[in-house]
Amino acid sequence: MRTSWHDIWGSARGPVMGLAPQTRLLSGATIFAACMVAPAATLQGPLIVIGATVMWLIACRPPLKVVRGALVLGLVLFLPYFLLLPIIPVDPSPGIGRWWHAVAVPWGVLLRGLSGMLVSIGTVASLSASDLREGLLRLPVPRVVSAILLQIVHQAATLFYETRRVASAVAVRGASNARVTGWRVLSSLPRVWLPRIIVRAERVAAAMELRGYCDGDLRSFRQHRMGLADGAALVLAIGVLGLSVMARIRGIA
Amino acid sequence: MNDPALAYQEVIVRYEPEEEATVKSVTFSVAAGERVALVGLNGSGKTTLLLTTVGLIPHEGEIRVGGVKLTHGTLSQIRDRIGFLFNVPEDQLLFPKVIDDVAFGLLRRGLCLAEASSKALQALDALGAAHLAESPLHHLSHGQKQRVALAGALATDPPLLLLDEPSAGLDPPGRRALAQVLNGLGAAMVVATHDLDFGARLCTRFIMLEQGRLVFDGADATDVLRRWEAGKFEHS
Repeated sequence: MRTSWHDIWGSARGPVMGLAPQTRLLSGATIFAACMVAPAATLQGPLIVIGATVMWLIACRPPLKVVRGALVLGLVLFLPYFLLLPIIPVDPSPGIGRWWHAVAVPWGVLLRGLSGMLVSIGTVASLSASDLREGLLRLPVPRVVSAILLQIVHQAATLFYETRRVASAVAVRGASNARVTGWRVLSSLPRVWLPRIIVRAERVAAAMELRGYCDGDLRSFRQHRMGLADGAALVLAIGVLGLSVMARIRGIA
Repeated sequence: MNDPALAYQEVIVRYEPEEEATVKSVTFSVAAGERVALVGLNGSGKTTLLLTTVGLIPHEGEIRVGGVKLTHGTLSQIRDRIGFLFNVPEDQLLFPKVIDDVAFGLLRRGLCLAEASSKALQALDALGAAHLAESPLHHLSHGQKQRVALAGALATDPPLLLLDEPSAGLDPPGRRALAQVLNGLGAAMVVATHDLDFGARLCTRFIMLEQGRLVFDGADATDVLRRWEAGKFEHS
């Protein structure tokens, strides 16, 4: 089922969709951790990170345009770190190693940043808002944290539609083309959008209080059974994390 | 056990201590099963009074629901007896899927998942919205959201319903159907509305607020209309 969440992020169509939501969430988090832990300055580290990221994306199969967008955004965000190369102190020893010492810093930022973004996008695309709720409720996450997180996700989707309505209103009321509309929406954020959000947040808080949203235990709406495939996926993800940790320890040694 | 479903005794509500009161010494009661339309111009205090009744705004005076006085200690007991519809239904829909949202109140009251889902579906069906059960909330129209929010309020079968503009955003057949559904319920209700036709179809008593004061309490909608049209209640 497509949900508003998927209107924003796109919907995954890979084999992970057959797994229980908590498996998807936990596997994604474990692969993410593996990408962050692996050393960037060794040969094995980047191989593990790139391999794990590509495998996870294949397993999730988020829409290509979302992956492309994330890649472009990641490169825009992280490539400029290479501009800092001239001011990063180099290794005083002679040879190619002296430059690698400096390059390793922005390379680590690029590798971890980009892989983290792609793994997160794969994971998010594989979870509808209902799946996220079911997944969180089955993991040892404090209930208050789950409740707040789920409401942030739910309201973020509402705000997405609110922003679209504001953009339509701005377009109808005088902006002549998409670029002008975009600019006007952006400039109207503090005056139009923010007060609306604050008022809305107050009303939602009142409704949450009245409906007892945070009282007692959050209850699950579905019954998911963990199967063999869930176990295999978790073992694989933990295996990748183990490899990353080993590569890290070797790198330090 | 002749306690009224709802009773206000000299209720005063102000948002800030120094400010003029939004609701000024309002006293009336609603008998069990009675259906009351709360009418008045924008800013007359209708929504404030409803929100105060469920303890969302502090008040002076006394509010009793089913004989139980509204205090901090009785708040959850009172809220469990009330089905509430906010005037912006989107605000009270807290779950991504329709059926989950409607079932939430039932699960909170300790029903098992199967029972809660079945009752939620019944409530949706009563409002002609059973086909929306599996839909994502963000894809619904305003009228559909209104019906889902109302289904959530009705699902727990509360003895008192407080409905803020329930007919707003509904098309004429939708309004008629809603009035029919609400007419079939045994619960007492207070319906804040500008829609006198809808109020007349549903309620047996009209209470009018003007700038926070109760200025009319009667059974005839035409009286309300006459007073309205005579311009007695225009904004000052």
